[in-house]
Amino acid sequence: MTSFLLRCAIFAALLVSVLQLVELAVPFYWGNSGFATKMAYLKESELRYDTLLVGSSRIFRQADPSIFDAATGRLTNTFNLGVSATYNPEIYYLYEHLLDDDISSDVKFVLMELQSLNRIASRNVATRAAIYSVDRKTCRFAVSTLSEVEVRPAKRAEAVGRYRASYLQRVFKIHILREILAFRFSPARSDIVLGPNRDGFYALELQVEEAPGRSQAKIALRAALLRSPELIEQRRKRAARIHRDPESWTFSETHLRRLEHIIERSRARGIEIRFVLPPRLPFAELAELLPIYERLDEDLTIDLADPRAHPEFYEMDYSFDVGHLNTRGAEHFTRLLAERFLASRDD
Amino acid sequence: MLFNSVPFAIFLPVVFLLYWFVFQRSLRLQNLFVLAASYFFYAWWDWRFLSLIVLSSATDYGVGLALAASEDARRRRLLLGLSLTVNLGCLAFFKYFGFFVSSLVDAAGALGILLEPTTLQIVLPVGISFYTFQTLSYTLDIHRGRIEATRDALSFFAFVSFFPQLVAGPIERAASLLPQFEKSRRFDFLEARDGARQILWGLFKKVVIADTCGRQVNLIFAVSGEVSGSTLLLGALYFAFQIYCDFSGYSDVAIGSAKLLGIRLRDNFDLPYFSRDVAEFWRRWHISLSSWFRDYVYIPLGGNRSGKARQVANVLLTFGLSGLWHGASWNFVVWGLLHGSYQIPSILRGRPRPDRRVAAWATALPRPGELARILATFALTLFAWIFFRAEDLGHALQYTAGLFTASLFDAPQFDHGVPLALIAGLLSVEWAQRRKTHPLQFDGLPVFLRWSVYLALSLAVIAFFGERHDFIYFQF
Repeated sequence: MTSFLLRCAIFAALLVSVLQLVELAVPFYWGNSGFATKMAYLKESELRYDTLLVGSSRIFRQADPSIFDAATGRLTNTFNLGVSATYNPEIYYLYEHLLDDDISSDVKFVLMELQSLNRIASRNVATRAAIYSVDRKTCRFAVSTLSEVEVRPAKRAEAVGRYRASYLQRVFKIHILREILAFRFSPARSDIVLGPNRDGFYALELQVEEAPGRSQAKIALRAALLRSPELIEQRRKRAARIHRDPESWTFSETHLRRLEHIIERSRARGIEIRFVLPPRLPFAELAELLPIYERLDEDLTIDLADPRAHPEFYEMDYSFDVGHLNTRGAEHFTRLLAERFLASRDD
Repeated sequence: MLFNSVPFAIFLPVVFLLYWFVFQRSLRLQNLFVLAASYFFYAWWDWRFLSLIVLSSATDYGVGLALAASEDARRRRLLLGLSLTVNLGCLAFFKYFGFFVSSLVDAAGALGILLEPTTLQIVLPVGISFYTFQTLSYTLDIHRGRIEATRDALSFFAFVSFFPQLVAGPIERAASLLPQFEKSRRFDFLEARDGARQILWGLFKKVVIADTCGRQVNLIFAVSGEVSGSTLLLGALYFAFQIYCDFSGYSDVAIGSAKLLGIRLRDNFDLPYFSRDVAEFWRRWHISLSSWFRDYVYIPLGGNRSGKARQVANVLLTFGLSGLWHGASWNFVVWGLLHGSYQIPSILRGRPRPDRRVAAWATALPRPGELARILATFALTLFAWIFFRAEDLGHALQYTAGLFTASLFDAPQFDHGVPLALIAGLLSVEWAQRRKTHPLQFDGLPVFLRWSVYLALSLAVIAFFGERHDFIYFQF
């Protein structure tokens, strides 16, 4: 029996080692095709970007580098590294690995969207997106954060279970081995994420007008469904309420510590980082983010989510859909972002 | 719980460790644990249908004891009738109710009588055809005086529900499996190692070959009216290997898992595509079912003892029922009848004594005549598989009509490189290792080579492990 178990253990260790070696053949961002495209572009580009905008579609679709650089008086040369559906903790995984990459040597400023912890949706279980970035550190971070912010035991158990399953699938490369090999030999690229100016920004409205294909129809359909004045007004009211009601906040010490770690690591690389709360965040996300935001150094934060200070972001004139701004809204958002960024530097 | 799933990859090692380290102190505890693990395994799919397994087990346990206690022939017939009614009644209700009703309505419609059918949305409990036949064979064997009834209820319930073979066989006989639950088991390193290797080989066949072929099969059968005869031929070929690798892969995992627990299950597949005639094919394909039908249907009907005409009728009836066992649809019946009819010429000619050994047992390659017989047998089974896979009889006829056209000689549509390479690889390995129980029995090779093969197969299983693919035989 001992001999049998020993052989099983050796074989399992050997198998896991080979699987880990396979992962060395691909870059850390292999599972996020949008990010991979942007990274490939950055590596090939001769333009030396010193400012990166990092986040989900709320950055990708709303922060225009050309406007940002103009507003900073060309203090910056900015690239939008935002990618749709790239959430916390994936965003932290990508950013921390980015700090180890040569690309970060030119970077002086990073503006990162502050996000609450993503719960892996049932439809995404066993997908590359839900697995590739959940390494041991990410899994521990997610499990610990969930224990602090998810008050409903059943929901917490389900969310924790999904992160643990993702971690195990990542270790054993279940559901992703073939995709890793496919990426190694033919990396998936989607140049649309670079946008018309190849600065990583593409406003939703513009893409619907300009870029052909399925994604165009999908975005237009989503906008038609979600461009509702009632929904937007509801989001405004809820955002205002959560801003003035700290009793509803749920604080995660783990999340705060992770951000402090990111700040430290960025400083060590000579990078000034700012955390941005973009407009139109849902109530539950704000409930997790505001207590963290309040605890971070004021110079490191930019809040554009508060409808009391920025009611214009909740107007139809600035709306693409309930969660995103249109081109006008994006221009305004970018200008404000640049102003607040400059103000934080002056401080 | 599917064998090709992450939950089973956790379940089996946990059961293995608890079985040998915690519950080995007492046979009763170990059997109780097997029973609990088996019910957990089944409940993972749907706990409500556990009641059917318990009902079937309790009925046959009780009937077995009553049969043992009775000498009265009439009472013994009544007891057997009770077992048949409960087991076949459950099977008929859950599996065949819809089929019988729709067939009756169709028949009445053909006679100009319009019937309003009663439709029930009946869920088919996984494995009902398998465990029903297994528990039924126990009662039948006691009735015939072949085995003694057991008084050990725990062993009996564990025998009926033993998780490796609960949902898709092999269909075990009480004479071979039940005694293994009645005596203590000892861990055997060689047996466990062989079991682990057989599990790996089974998973490779299922996840890599069957699921790859399955994707092509689904595509080709879905557009069978629009593709060339050559593509349809490849579709049938892929299905032949999909179902073989799917079901024999399942059986390998089942047999291997049982070996890990010190239990020997019977072989269920023995290189069926190297058969030299259809009768041999049935001695090598789904052996536990074909021998069940031989022992409990064909031989009681008279077998080959009452003249050739009667033998032909018996063969056709047995194979027709075997087809119906596979599914409540006429295309399965036609599939069974095709296999029965393939055997008529040799019955009429007089069958020679069958060679139990696999083709070219003593030589490296088959003789030309032997090869021709293997290919002819494969072609016949290939044709029959079309009826098995088609949506219904109409689809099967449309498929075969499309197959036998001039386009049979056109270049096939779609990409066939990977599945054809996998099939060629499988056949080569099986041929080279045809004298072994499974191809991973290669103890003569150096350790480094053996482990490299295990590693390569494991990586292939992980790489091909994608969307969930149920085992085909789960639906039966």
